[in-house]
Amino acid sequence: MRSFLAQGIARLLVLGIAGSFLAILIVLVVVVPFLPGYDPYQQDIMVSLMPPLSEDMGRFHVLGTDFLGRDLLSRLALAGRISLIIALGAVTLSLSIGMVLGLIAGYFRGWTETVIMGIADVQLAIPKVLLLIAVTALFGANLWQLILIIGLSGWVIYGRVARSIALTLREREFVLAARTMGATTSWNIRRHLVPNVTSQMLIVGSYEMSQIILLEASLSYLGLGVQPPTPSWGMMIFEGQNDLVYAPWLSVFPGLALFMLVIVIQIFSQFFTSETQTPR
Amino acid sequence: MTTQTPEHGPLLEVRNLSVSFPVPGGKLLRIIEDVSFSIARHEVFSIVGESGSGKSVTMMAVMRLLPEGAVVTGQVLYKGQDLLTMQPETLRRIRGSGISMVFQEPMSSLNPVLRIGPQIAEIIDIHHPGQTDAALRARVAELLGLVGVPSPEKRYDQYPHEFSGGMRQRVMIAMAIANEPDLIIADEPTTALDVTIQAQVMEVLRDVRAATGSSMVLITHDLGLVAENADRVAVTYGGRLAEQGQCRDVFAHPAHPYTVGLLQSVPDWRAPIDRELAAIPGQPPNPTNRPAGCAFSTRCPIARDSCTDIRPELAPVADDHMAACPWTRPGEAAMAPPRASLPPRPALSQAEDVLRVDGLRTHFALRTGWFGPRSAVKAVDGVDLQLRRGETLGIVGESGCGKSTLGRTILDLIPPTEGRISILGAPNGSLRGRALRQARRRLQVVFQDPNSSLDPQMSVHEIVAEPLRIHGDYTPARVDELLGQVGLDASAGVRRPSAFSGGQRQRIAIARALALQPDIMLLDEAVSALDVSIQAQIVNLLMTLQRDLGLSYLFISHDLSVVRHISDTVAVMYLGKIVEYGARDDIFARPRHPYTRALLSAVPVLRPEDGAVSERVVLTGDLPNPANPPSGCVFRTRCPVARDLCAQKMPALTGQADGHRFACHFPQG
Amino acid sequence: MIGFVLKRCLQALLTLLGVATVAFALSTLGGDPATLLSSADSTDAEIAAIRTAYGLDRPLIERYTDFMVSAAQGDFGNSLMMNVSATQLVLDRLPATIELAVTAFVLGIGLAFVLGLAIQITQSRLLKGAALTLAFTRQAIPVFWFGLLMMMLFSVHLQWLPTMGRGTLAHLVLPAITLASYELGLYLRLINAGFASEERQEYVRTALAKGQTRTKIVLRHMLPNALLPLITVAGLNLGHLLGGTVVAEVVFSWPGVGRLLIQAVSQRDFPVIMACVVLMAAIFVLMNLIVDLVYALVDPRVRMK
Repeated sequence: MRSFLAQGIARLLVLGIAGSFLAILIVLVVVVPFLPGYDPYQQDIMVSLMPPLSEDMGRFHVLGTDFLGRDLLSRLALAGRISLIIALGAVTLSLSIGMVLGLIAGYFRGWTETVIMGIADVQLAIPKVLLLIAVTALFGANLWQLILIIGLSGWVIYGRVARSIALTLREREFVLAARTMGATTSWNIRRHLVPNVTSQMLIVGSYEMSQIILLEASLSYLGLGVQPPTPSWGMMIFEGQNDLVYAPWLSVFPGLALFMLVIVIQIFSQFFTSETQTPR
Repeated sequence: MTTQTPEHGPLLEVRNLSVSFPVPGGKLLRIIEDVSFSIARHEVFSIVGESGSGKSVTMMAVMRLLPEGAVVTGQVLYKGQDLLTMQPETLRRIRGSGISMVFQEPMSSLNPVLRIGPQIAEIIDIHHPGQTDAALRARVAELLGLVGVPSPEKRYDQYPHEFSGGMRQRVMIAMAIANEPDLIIADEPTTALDVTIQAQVMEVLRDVRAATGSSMVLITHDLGLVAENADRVAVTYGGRLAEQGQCRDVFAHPAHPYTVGLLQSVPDWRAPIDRELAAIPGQPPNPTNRPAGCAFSTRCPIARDSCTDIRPELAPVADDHMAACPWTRPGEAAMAPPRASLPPRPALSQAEDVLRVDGLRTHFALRTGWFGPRSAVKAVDGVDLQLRRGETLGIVGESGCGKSTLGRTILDLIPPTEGRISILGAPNGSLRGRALRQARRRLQVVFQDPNSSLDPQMSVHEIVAEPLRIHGDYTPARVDELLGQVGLDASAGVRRPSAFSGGQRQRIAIARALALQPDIMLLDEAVSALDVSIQAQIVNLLMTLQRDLGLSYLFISHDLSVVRHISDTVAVMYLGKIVEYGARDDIFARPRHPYTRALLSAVPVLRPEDGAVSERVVLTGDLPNPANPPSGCVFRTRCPVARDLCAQKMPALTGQADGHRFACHFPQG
Repeated sequence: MIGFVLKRCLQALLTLLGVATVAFALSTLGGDPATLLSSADSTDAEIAAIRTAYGLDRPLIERYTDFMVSAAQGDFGNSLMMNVSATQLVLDRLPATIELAVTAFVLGIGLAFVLGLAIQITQSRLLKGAALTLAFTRQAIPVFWFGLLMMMLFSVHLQWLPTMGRGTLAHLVLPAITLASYELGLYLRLINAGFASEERQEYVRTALAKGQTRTKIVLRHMLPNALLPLITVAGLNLGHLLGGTVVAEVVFSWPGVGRLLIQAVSQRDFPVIMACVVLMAAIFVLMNLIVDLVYALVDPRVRMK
């Protein structure tokens, strides 16, 4: 009984932290861009490397400025939006490809499955960061290319999960019964497989979202993400690295924002997972 | 099996045991309420009840094996010491040495990555440490021999997955008796096993008990098993004891209306089959919505207004016989509802065949290893069947006999290797595309597991509407009509299947199968997963529907008493072949094949005068590997009358002019 | 068993073939090194000469066959910048990468193992809660930022450890801890999840009913079962570790394959990029092959098939 109560309190605490992080992030990516006078691209060498909470000619730099005198907060906000757009776009792309291929592999079996899962094995054999480094090095990387590249490289995990669920679903009696009623293959996939695989896909997707944000940050840290002057958290940390000693805020704040975003997504992902897996 | 007087008081005494589990929201849900009973030395005490009645939870609570969070109150006195309050270390020394357990699922109850021998040796080593490996090994081999595991020395080093279900349960029993305990708790020990294997395992349990003199608690849902094995019995319902007493008293003169109903729901081997089974109406109570008073009051034929509010206490009704109902006396059967007789059917002899199966074989290719030789599992190996309009053909057999594969091949879910299946005169393989889908309407199916046969993501209305939508015949009114036909309210349509009990879900599955107005329904173990009181409801529904709609049933089941009740004709399968085929009474009253006789004799019966075969035949050994069947007659390895000829020549399915056929060189009877 | 080994080896070979094909496809699609090596004022004839020199004017299928044959011999051509064998460049850097990755892996999984067992045996909610919270938090921090924070604290402020380079054991500490802490978090969560699912298995109840003690149930019954899935997951996660190593090498200027790769990318040195990717993938495939064979040795159910 006591442990039950303690669990409830711990759960509330975790959701509280996640909630406040979320509020900060929402302010950052939704409200900040609409504040007047804060242009993430506006350079002013006169105010370079100002510490947080400093003011210059009526402009208040909450998080300070960077080497080129650009307002850190506005750059952080823009970078956050870009990061989210990439993650959402890539997850949507991988989830769609992975779900379709996985369901097809699991439902049809035979050589279809062998080919699809063989491709998945090859892709899985190349560590993802290495693959992305090679691809971005060859093709370059703007926003859309990044979504495409990350999205295409991430379908395997959805494919594997969807396939294993499809393998059991195709033997489930409600699918067999539908076949005896005269249901076509496409009917079974649309009416039975897709609805029954969706919640698992979203669980995987919510976790993968946090991983993609970390991955995109790593790529931009290595200089392979969106290209300057467009800001990204990883690149901001890299740029601030040289000034680590006397201007630590340059790399600390983007890192904090990144950390909060990943934590929020992971907590909600776990919460979502436990909610969907509690028997009704 | 006589009751012996206790030497010094009861061995185990359970006093006012209650168990609650926490549920989301921080509340406690009461699962077991105020249960008291006692077990004497050397006696077999049975706790019998349907699923969810709390019979297993009771004994788990006694052994303090419930998951963390469960709240247990009351007293459990083992030789005068309270198991519930004693130090964990003291309790640990009793577990496995004073009281041992045998669980339902022998596969998952054994550790899959450890060898069998050491798993048995472990229980000896815990309680008698310091023995040499050789001594332990010898003792384990002795125990394995005692429970009838052949070549124990070799089996010692094997893993659980190399054992059959029956052999695994023998291993569990060997473990349970290793330290010669005072009490063995057997929790549904044979439920996962086939009936002929069940007979073997129960015989082993009887033998080891006779050898060690232990008491036993037998937890089961099978009334026949209780009648054949127990000295005393407690009947559980809704987390409480409804009745307890000497087994023969309780079964001969039941006092609680639930016990009366339960006993009557069991298909009677002597009753004429033109009558309905005596089902208990309604659904079993769920711990969340149990009435404050008597848990059975919502389904009870003699309930009065006060029953829903006032909880009846267990009170004596006769010597060593107690019941928790103030309104009855033992043996008062008047409260049983009269059984409705079923309307007569047209004679079957003139009826056309709606389904013909000729020379059907379904083989599965199998390769042992990557470069190993190809072989085939002959799941169905040369089966002929005819099903007439309005007839019920029962197909019985144990797991692995191929009856489900036969069903799925007929449904065109598995391609046949050879042979012909004609539905209403149209042979298989003659149709494609739209015409095939139209032909499939004639044959619909109800599967065993109501959890798996309904899509959890769809509403009940959508589930029943699905076949209509596939064929473009959907109207909401038709769905409501179908739900009404199976005894469900149209308002049930908006809910998901998870909101319904097993029996109600099976009604939904039947409504869906009826939607396309089929001629034939294939019922694949359709009532096997249900509790006996609910099973009777569904059997009655199926028989009424058959008469109203002129349906033909292919009834696949391992449950002989249900098959006897519902079938006109019966086919007995063993290892992919039909070994006996004939009218219901031929099979049940005059069985000729030794396998049919053994199968019938293995069924535990509630009433000793029941049963077709008076002498019990316990088959030896396990089902042979279907990938490598014996030469000649497939049954010869376990047959009590097999001779040399049987190994050389496969007997054909031949028989008498009246249509009773059997495949045996030396038919019995 | 022999059949299984042969099948698994063939599968690994096919996968490597696939990897090499992907590498070829990328290098063919991803731009023409001829334009890279030439300057803006090169004439068409000069470009054509470069194309001929690198064999780029031959039919695709011929180039593919050549690429696969040389790749099979470990030859990815010479570095465009340094004019030495790309494979040799990678091999020279490989020991540094292996040193870092293996240290991090052993440290991470070893500590996770000890901690996981301690949690199971003591059943301490406090220990479990604290360890899992830290693991969860660490996994939300990217490698490069964690590395920077460590550097800031231990090298800049406390001046205990060097900031960059390789050589002494002190150089290894920060990059290894940066990677190992992530691995520790990952495996601790996996071990815990494994034990949690084993805890619900019925054989645990059997062992309790036998009168077995908690410690022995954890060690003798649950551990072998919980380890099995961990072996497979560990194999797959090596890819993630290799990715993390690339980033950590850049942060700490660790002279491994990862830094070589990033350098090659900035110089658009395609043979070196290909050599890095294919060789790392080959190592990864090989490790997973070994993991699967180990699994088959450990699990009696697989061994029998």
